[in-house]
Amino acid sequence: MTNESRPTLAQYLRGSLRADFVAGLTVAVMGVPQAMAYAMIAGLPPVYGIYTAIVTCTVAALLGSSRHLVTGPTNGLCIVLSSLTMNMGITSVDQALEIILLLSLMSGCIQLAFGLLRLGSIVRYVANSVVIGFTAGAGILIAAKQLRGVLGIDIGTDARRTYEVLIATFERIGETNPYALAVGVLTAVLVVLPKMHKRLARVPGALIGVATAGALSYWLGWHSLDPGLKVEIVKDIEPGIVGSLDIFHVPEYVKNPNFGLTQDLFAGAFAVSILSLIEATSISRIVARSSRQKLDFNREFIGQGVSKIVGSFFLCFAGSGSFTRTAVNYQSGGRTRMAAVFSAAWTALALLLLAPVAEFIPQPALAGMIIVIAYSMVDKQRIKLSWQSGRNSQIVLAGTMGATLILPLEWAIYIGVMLSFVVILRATGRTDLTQLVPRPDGDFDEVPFNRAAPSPILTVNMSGDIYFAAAEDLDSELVRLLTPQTRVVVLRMKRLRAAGSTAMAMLEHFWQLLGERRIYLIVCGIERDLETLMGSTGLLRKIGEENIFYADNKLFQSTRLAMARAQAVQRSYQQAHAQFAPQVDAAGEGDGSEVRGGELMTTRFPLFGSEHQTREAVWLLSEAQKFKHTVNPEPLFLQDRNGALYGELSRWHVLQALLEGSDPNQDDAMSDEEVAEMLRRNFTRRINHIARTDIVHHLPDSEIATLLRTSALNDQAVVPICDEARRLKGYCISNALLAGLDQSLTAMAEEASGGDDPAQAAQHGGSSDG
Amino acid sequence: MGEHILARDLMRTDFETITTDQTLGDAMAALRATQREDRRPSALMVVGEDGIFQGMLTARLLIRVLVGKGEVDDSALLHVAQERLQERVGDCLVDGIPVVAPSDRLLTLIRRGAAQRLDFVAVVDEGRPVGFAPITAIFQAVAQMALTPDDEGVRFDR
Repeated sequence: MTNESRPTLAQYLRGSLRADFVAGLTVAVMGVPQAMAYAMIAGLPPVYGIYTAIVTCTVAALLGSSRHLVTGPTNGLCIVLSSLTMNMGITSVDQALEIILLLSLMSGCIQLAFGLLRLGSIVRYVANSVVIGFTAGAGILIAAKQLRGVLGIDIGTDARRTYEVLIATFERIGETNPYALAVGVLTAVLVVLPKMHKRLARVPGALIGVATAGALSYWLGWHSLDPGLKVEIVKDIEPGIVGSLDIFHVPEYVKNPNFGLTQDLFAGAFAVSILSLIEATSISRIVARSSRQKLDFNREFIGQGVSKIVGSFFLCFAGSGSFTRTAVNYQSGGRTRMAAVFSAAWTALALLLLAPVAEFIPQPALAGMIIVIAYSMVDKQRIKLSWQSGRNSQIVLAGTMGATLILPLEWAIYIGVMLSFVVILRATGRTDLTQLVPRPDGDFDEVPFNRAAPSPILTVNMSGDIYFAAAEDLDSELVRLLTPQTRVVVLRMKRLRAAGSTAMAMLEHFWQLLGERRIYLIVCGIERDLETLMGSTGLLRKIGEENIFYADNKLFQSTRLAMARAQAVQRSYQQAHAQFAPQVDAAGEGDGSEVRGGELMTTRFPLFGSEHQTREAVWLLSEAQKFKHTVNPEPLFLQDRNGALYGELSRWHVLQALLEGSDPNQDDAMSDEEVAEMLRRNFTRRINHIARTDIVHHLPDSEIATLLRTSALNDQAVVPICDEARRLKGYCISNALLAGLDQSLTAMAEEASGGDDPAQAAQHGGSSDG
Repeated sequence: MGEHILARDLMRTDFETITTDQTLGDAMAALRATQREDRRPSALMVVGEDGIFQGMLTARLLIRVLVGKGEVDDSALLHVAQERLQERVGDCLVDGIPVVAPSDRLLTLIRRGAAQRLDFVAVVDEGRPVGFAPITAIFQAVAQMALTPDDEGVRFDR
């Protein structure tokens, strides 16, 4: 969908009609000579370029996505059409026309299929350098081919590639027709002149050049000189241009299908489709950036496809978006797609009125104009920019341009597109690894991979793609980091993209490798899609929920939590003397009779200042929950200005505060909007007034019995664990206390039974999973 | 009034049950089992043999039941708890457990749940337990209703 506004007819007539009308005229004045010249590049009489500029332009404008794109004959496509038909043993213009119509029909069908299958986004993966390189290469080829037109010599049709054309031209340079050369040079000069002066930028140089040179040649009678000196005119290649729009024509190969020919042309038709789509979308994208139009590439594909299909029934060859005509349309004030339709209408009028005159346009004049256009196709500024954009751009640019000059053009397009994909794979098929080193202030320094000082906790930041191409060597890279000192590896995976099953297998393999070395794995920055993938492959369960930290909208938040977890694991590891996979959050290890708060506590916790408003607490708790996937709540602790524990703010406290002052009898009568308004009434209350401040805390070495008593007698859902200065070190939730109790009871039962039969002991004591 | 947030919209139906005839030891084992999976409600519905709702147990409530009123000192507390594990769940039910019907609105859920401030509010339909409404879900629903884009921007202090 586009964001194009749809004015009413009255609004359009009042607001945009005049602008579109004028822009259309400007485009047509510039486009008519271009259309004729491009038809010549394709190897067809000029009138077919005019037909294409009428029909294809109208259909594509009405059905496409861009408001400003002017579709019609383009130099790049025409040279490809010429290349495709050159070596087919074509003996007449009619035969060439029919094959080109079939090619256009086929490429239209391919584009329509692309659009209907919603493959519009694929053009994003074709590098801009392909278009730049191909256009430049095609420009050189076109210029080389038109040299013979300016020189008035015949080089035959055998020379196809650029160097062949140049060699053949120079071999016959002695046969140069001075009259043709004069007409060609004069036209070229008149086309170039306006481009050299800003004030003349809007002067239609092509039209003036062709008209002036044609008039001069006609006045001097050069078109009727002897063979060898005669200046060829359009009439010589197509006698009697019909100034009529009665051009409906069912292509010969539609009436009499030739499947062999269709098969032969398929690769070429596909290349035409690709090039046309790249041209149309890249041009419309450039204009859309200025016009702020949101483009729908699928719709553009459909518009381009249908325009070719329809056009092939009206003697039109395959066209595409013209950069120059589109730019002129936009700069001339064209506002809607009707500007392109008007340009088609003006072109049709020109055909009806000027057909008799057009017959006398000298071919060297058209060739001279084409050479100027071809020169501008070698866009030195964009080539330089692309070349400076790095090695990948250079490869695509040089590869495409080189292929254009030495290979058949359809293959040059394929090579350009293929290079684009190879470059994308090269650029993205790699996971970048760096290391994060925690700083005392809580932030992290990012250092190059394998450059951080050895530490028991390794934090690796992974970014880029982790699909199969990248996953291959990743675990061996990671393993290189491990030292005998390593106890915990934290993988930050927030910037990973394109994780697939191979990547999951890699991660699992890495997890196993760490397990064999008794190293703990913690992952953080896990986004939703990665979580889903890890869940479906069982990796979440294997790594353990407690070791997985989900991505937060605050930078490094989940990494900080993961680091806290890693430090706790490390401490526990030291205590347990290299016992694999220590559990710190829940009891289950060690001597049950000595279970203490420090072993049961969770060390990741949000702390909040005690003087915030309730509104902020609601937002904070809500945001924190968005990144949790547990239904069991985590507490929020408040600290005073000195950093000491102030109290606990549970969700119930907040909800009670929000409902304060409301009338329960009104609950059922209120709409959701009224409920929201009522809830917001207490948003400004300070949370130090609603938090629970009589909460009892304990030191880390407090025994389980003490903690249980506090929980039960003081009715605390959590027991904070603080240091001597009342700074929070962690907290024990009821679940952890119950786990500690279970563990203690199991240990007591084991002790009572002499430790001979743990299963029996468990049966007598706790729930047996201690 | 179909657009209102109701208890049934927020409740989780993947709960565990325990009968009144089972022991507190069984309850502890069942609760410990729920704790291993963070996504499941760490709470138990207590039902009679006929499946009728009798109460609920969370870790906090079970600790309260096992520890009692703290009549003994810390050294004896674990032994007391160990003995109580053999008691029937039905004999130790905690009074005043908040209960709502599936069709109760959000505000009713909050008012009843706030009385005990448990992590879950039992949702009971015609005497039978049908789900737990977690405080996390209740809170998120309230936050979604009350917060506007202007309320954003609070940062963690740590």
